[in-house]
This record gives sequence, C-alpha cells and structure tokens, in this order.
Amino acid sequence: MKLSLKAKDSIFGYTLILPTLIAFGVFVYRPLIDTFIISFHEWNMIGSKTHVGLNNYIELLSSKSFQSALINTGYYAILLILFIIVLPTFVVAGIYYISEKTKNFYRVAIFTPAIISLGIASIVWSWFYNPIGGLLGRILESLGYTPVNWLSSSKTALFAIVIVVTWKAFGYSFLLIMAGLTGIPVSVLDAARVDGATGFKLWFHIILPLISPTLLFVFVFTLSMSAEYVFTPIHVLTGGGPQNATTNLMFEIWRQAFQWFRVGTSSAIAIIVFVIFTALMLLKNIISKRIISYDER
Amino acid sequence: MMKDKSYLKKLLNKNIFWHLILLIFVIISLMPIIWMISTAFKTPQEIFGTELNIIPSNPTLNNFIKLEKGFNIVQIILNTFIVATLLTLSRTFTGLLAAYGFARFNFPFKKLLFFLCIVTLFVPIQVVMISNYLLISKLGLINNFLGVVLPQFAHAFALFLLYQHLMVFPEEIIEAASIDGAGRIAILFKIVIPCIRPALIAVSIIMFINSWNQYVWPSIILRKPEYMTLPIWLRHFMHAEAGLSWGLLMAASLIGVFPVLFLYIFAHRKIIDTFVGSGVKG
Repeated sequence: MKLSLKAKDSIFGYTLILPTLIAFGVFVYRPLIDTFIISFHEWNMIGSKTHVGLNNYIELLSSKSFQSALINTGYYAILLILFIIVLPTFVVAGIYYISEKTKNFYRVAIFTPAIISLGIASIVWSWFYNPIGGLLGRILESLGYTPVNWLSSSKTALFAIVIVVTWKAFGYSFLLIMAGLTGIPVSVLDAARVDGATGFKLWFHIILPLISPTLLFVFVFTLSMSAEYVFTPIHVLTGGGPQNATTNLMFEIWRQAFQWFRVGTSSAIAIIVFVIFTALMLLKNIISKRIISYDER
Repeated sequence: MMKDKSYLKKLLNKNIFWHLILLIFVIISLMPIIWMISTAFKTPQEIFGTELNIIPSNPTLNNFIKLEKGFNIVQIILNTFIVATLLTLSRTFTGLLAAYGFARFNFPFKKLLFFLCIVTLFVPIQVVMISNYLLISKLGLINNFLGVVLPQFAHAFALFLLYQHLMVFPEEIIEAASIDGAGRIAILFKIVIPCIRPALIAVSIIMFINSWNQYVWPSIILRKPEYMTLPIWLRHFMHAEAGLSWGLLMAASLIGVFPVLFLYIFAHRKIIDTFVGSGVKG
C-alpha cells in the first residue's frame, strides 16, 4: 500500500510532536487526573489508601493552617499587585520622558534581579534582614532604631517575603508595561495632544486605557505568582511560620504531603488551586476579548 | 486654565525628577547583589565589624577556599551544570521538533494538541508534584539527576518561542529544497536549523537560566546533599551547617549567580527581548 503525500505529512507531523506530547501527557495531564483521584483518599504515602469520599475537602474547611493559607494568599496577592503593577506603572511614566540611550541603562539595571534564582535571592535577602550585621539592621541602627528579625515576627514575616518576591519580579512587569507603552502609536498620542490632553489627563484618559491589555496580562501573571513564586522564599526562610503567618496555598500542598504525609489532604488543596487557576485564566480571556483594542494585530 | 497645575506639570516634565526616581529603583535592584559580592570577599571580623564598607578593606578568598575544602562546592556546581545542561538540551530539542511539526505540517487535532501543549505553562508545578514524585520514586530515581530532568524534558515556553519563529519562516526556501530532493529530516537539519540559529540560541539561554535557577522540583527529588543543585544546597547549607557564616553563604550565593549574571552581561538585549516579547504576545 502506498501512502498519499498528505498521509505521510500527517505521520511525520505526529512523530515530531510525539516527545512533547509524551512529556506533557505523562507529567502534566496524568498527574492532574491522579491527584484528583488521590484527593478522595486518605493515605500516608506508605500504607494502603482508604477511600473517604469528600472528607478531605470537608476537613479543609475547618483546618486552621488551610484558612491561614487562604487568607495569606489573598494578602500576598494584594501586596504584590500594589508593588508589581501599580508601582511600575508609575515608574514607567517617568521613563517616558527620558532619552533612548539612558532608557536602556535603566531597563538593563532594573531587569537584573529577574535572572537570579529565587532560592539564592532568598538567602541574600535573609542576610540583608539579619538583625546582627545585616544591612537593614545597620541602616535602622544608624537612624536610632533597634534592629529586629523581620522573618521571625508574625507581624512582619509576610511583608518581608513580599519584598523578596517584589525584588525578583519587579523588573519583568516593569519591562512588560514599558513595552505596552512603547507599542502605542505616536499618531494616537499626537492626536490626543492636539485635542488638548496633556499631563495627567493624557495618562489617565489615553495611555492607561491603551495599555490595559498589558496591565491585564501583568495582573493575571501577578495573581498566579502570588501563589506560585512565593513558595520558594517561604520554603527557604520561614517554613510557613511563625504560627502559619507566611504559609500560602502552594506551600500548604507541599507541607501536607512532604512534611505531614497527608497525601489526600495535599491533593485536595492541589485540586482547589487548579480550579482557582483555571477560573482565573478563563476570566482573563473573557475580559481581554471585551477590552478596547487600538491595534488589530 | 492649564496654568493652575503648571508647577506639578513642570516638575513631572523635568527629566531630573524622573532620573532620581529611576536611580532609586536601580539602587534597590542592584544593592543586594553588590552587598552579596562585597560580603563574599570579607573576613568574619569585617562582616560583623562596625564599619560599613562596600569594597572590603582587606579582601580575602578564604570563604571560597573554605567552601571548596570543607563543603565540596565543586561537586555542587558540577551537579547544577549537569542538570541545567540536560534540561536545556532536551527542552530546546523537543521544542524545536514540536514547533517544526506544528508550524509546517497538517494533521488531525493539530489545534487542540497545540493548545493542550501551551496551557501546561499555566499549570503550577505544586499541583502536579505529588503524583510526579510518586512516579519518580516508583522508578527509583530519587537522588538521581534523571529524576529531576525526566518530568520536565519538554517546556511549553521553548515550543512557543520556536513556533513563532518557524511560522514566519519563508516557505520558498523549503519548497526549493524539497524540489532538489531533500527529505523532511534533511530540510529540518540542513536548512531550518541553520536559519533559525539566533532563535535557538535565545531559547537555550532562557532555558539554561531557568534550569540553573530551579528550586521547587529539585528540592523534592534531590534529598542527599551530595546530589543537590546550588539553589537547594544553599538552603540546606544555611540550615544545617553554615549557621551564621554569612561570608560562606554569600560566597556560595555569588558562585550561584555568576553563570547567569555572566550570560546576562553578554546577552542582556537578547534575554530581555525574548522575555518581554513573549510576555506581551502571550
């Protein structure tokens, strides 16, 4: 039997994508189903599994550490939105007035932390926070304050972790928002200026609406990061403590499974996180379809 | 009527105001790195001394020597290089094959399969790590580099970036080659790969940085210190052995950021463009 050229092309196409399909099938889609099934069982990773129905999910509702994790994830999200979206939008406003050459220097310098491992960044920042000899303590001391360990007080630990993540992620969102800004056609800005829009008016009525697709992307990126990225500094610096003050949903998945060996509970949290993430992505797509667009690329 | 706000407007339009603000951000971005480098070359006396010097008053390599003699740092660097290189090669290669397949050939369910590949970018590792850990431990690959590499030998970001480049690859070149009798595989290796070399390099750099920096998955698989990669070994080192030896910790951190910093210094334009370009489109 001789295959047609079209059939040969199909087979060759499938062969090319096969390794990738296997990777994602076995290590992304299989685990999703597997985790979903485990979430209805009680299991300590060693003994045998007991089917417990929805029990794991019901128990989570009254679990203190899960409640802290949920609330903290919200705190992380709010603080990171403030630091990684609102703040860089303001700074980008400045770069708008600056010449092309110096602009590049600022871009390269501010993006530098983005390429550094979050694990290493956490260690470097813990040296910065360290009350004995750390830079922050020295600065506070010279101003007449007594240095405290930010990471061991439940009032400041979460904020200290937000600072680490902000440091790492700021440059990325800064450049994204800047790229959004540079993407606005000069003709649009000139037309607005001719119509009398300047300064703040130009910013709030013309520029911000125009870069709203970029802001939306950064917004979703920040929300998912407030869950995902934050894991590493928590794992390195606080272990979720003190008194659950820094734990979040992702860290709870890890802690339940790898510290307390409650694999069923851990899987239930994983499924909840997955549902939240999927909802977030769908919401982003719905909003971005409705959002005004000046450019039909 | 615009005059009322003229003072504020003038201030905002003044470059000096923005230079100052941007410089503050530059300092915040670079200060921890500079402080880390400075501490790495200091003696314990100077680290905890009263003076605050950015450039160490008597710089020493002692921290690095101690790391090499007492803590086998060379092995840790080697581990990180092996894992990062394996991941970079496998992800770039599988990404190239798949991107070529999706961009150049037609087959049933193509759109759906492409979508299923790309959305894996949005599945957090923590969601799938329990099940993957169970599978890897069943295969006996705990404390094994293969256990780190195997579950992530393909990466949607590599696929996506190369796909974008292959979509705009001129059809005529491929047609001319196939008229000359070149087979599909020969076209890929002899014509496509040389033409998209810049994109392949960009993807490799990004994948190397990503793999070198990786934390979550290696921390689950590599439990014995002698198998650890640098970012997770640092945490182990801080909690188990170094205690408050910040000189040692910062020296090890410097070793950990050196390769990516080196890449960044020479390829910052490429790295920034690849990160930002993909972000806006995604």
